[in-house]
Amino acid sequence: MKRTVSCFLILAVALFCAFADVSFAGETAFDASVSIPPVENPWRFTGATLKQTFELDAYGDTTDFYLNAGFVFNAVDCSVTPFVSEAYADLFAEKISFRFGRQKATWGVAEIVSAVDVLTPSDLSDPVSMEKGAINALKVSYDAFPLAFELFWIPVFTPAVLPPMMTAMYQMYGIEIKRPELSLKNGEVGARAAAYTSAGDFALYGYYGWEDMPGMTGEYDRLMMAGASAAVPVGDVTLKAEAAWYPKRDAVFSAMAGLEWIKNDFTFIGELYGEWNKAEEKLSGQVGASISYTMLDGDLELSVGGILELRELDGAVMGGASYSFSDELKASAGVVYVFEGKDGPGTYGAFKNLSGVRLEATYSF
Amino acid sequence: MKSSKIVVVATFILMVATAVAQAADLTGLDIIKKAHEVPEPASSSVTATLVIHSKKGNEKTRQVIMKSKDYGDVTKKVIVFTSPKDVAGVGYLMFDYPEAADGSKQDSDNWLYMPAMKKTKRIAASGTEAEGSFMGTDFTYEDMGERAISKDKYTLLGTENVNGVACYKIKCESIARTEGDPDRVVYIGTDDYMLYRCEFYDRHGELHRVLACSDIEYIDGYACTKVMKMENIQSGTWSQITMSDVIYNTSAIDDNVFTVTALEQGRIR
Repeated sequence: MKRTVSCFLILAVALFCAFADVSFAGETAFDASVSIPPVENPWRFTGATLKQTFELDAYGDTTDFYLNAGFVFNAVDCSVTPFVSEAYADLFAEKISFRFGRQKATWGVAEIVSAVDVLTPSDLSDPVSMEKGAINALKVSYDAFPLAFELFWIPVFTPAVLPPMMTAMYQMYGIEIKRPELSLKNGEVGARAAAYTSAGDFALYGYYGWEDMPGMTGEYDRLMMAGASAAVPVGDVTLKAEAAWYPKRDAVFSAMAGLEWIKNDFTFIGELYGEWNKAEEKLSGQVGASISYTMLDGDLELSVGGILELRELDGAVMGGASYSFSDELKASAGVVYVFEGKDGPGTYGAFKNLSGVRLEATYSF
Repeated sequence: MKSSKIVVVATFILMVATAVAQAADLTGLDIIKKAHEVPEPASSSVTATLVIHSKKGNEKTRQVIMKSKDYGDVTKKVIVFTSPKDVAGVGYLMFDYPEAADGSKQDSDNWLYMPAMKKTKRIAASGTEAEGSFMGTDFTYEDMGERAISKDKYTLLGTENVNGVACYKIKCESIARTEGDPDRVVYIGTDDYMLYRCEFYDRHGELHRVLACSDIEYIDGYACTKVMKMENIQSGTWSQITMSDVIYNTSAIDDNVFTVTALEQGRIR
């Protein structure tokens, strides 16, 4: 049955591609990373991967099919892992549109730590890129500019991709990670209403689903969220704010305030994130900042950034440089240093083994 | 026969004399106003090729689709990069507001869609940010919009030929003096009031950038500058925008393309 459905889908896509405009692109990326102190036994290779991505976009006037997929070859253990980053179809009417399939979406206005971006799961397999995963969902959009509405139905829960050390920790304690049972009632829903005005962009969010990280028992807890965000241009800067209420979490309130300032080739982002833990009656917070600068006609981009947990004083700092030899070939180098807090590892310090230097080369076609 | 020739010559002399007299009466501000009044199509769709030339001689080429529509109280523009791969899908939506009767002008509304982040960012339009490089080119975000007449004071310096075209030479001095290039010298065609050249001077009065406009063609009765080259004299770089597939006043430009949702959905082709 599964094979029949797959064959039918492949045939449908092939037929569509035959009658639509098609664009094809790809990227080959090689990266290698080396651990640095405070990692135990520093200066050893911790990873070397070759990632091949293919991108297909076939589109007509009212339809679109998009596929982003490929494979990762891990040179450390000689394994090959295929992946489908996104694979969705769009149907457009005048104001209403439908997107169904594997897709990514970002909620909120934060760049570093968001209070409202719960729709898609985290991908913690690569903490440097801080990418978000995709969801298998049906999205219905209604565009009544300056208003816009989105409704997501996610029938199948997608958990966060955990870092190997966290998966190992669950295994060590013999805790089995259990996903919610596959049933209609265990689906997730999300909604967003946005207004784009001259005064600024404002949005409301609602979500009912699951936490993307398992709890100490290995089970995923229910998650509800009601939130709002704003991005207001004032003079040279854009002020940003997010606030969210999580009735099923101990940390019931989360909020973010920040700004983005772009001056010529400089971009500065500063954000303050806080959450209120009702059970412990405790306020915790994080402050993050990044500065990026482009030079040599935009070929070289330098960036530094960091995040600090304000209670434990643990955090991470990172810096990097990226140089474009041509439109196709780019090389980058980056360093991440994760440090523990004053009384223990803390939120970020627990990942201190991720401290390292990373080199990457990408070829796009 | 002889008398009719005399009449023709006399009429020609009279016309030239009238034109010279009229030109002499025009102030720099009048000419700038006339340049702003050059008829523009209510809507347009253009494919533009951007060539970015580095100091070392390396070239990068970007292709964008640009659509715009004038709604009277606002002009909406959308620009989407189609190549190369590293910028494909990046989109820029801008709402530009006309100058009010008192000379004031509302800041434009700007959004930037970054497909890698699956996110649309609101961008501040006022102040120095507008002078930031437009997608790595020597053009700024402000260059992509229309500068309010009230922001400058104007002095007519005379007339000068630019590539064989007679132009008014006008000095435009920023009143606020907050811009990186507060002074400009613009060359406006005496016949068509089109911009043929613009020199940008920095705060030290040094020549910073030079814009050269060429290949002006008339499409459906509207003037279209098909080639714009911006040269950064100080850095030695230049960028050129070449227009193709120019379509004016077409009903095919749907109002729904000028929205953040359309930008995020990749519907602008």
